[in-house]
Amino acid sequence: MAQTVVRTQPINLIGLWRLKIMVPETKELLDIMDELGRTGTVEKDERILDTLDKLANETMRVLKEKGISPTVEDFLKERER
Amino acid sequence: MKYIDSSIFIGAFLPTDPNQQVCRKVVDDIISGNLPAVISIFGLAEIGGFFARNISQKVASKHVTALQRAGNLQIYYADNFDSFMNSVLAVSVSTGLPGADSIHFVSAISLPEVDEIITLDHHFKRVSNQIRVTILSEGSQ
Repeated sequence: MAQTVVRTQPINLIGLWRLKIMVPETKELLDIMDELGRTGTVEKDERILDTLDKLANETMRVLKEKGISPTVEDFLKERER
Repeated sequence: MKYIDSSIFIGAFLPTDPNQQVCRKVVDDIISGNLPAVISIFGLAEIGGFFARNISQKVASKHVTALQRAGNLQIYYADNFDSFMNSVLAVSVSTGLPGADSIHFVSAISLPEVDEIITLDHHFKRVSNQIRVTILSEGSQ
């Protein structure tokens, strides 16, 4: 009888990092996951609204450089595909 | 508790989006503790992917880690992946929801505390008989 179900442990973040699928820009993501794995918690950003405002400015700067104006509609079209 | 679709965070983080203000108000309410909220880890993946494609990997990573470090936003992980994905398949086939939307819907109804999905995605009307669905648009709040 042909096998129709395959089961395996998924590759973990360290594996993705070693394969260079995770890029250096995502190192903080790896650190947070590591923190979560070890302690079950993650250090919270008490000034998150300021962080989001700074990120909005950084996002706007990149959009102007690229000369594009992506919207949620673009995201929803991609998601539907 | 409200389940926040990734479209709301993308809207809030895109200064060029026509729904940016209404989405940012939701995000501000979550962060200030006025709106108990949850998103799935899959939603964070959608947000990160969209920003990496359209803005940059660095900005994408910053947005995702900001959400992970947001004090009042819960992040949902399914305990049993097989069971979770079987439900996603059943929902998609039964309701016509796109697969990604089914992941959000199954995440939302798996959490007893969640009573509403907040989104910009009109597909969720398909399950509005199962859970309250609020589809935001500029001027809706």
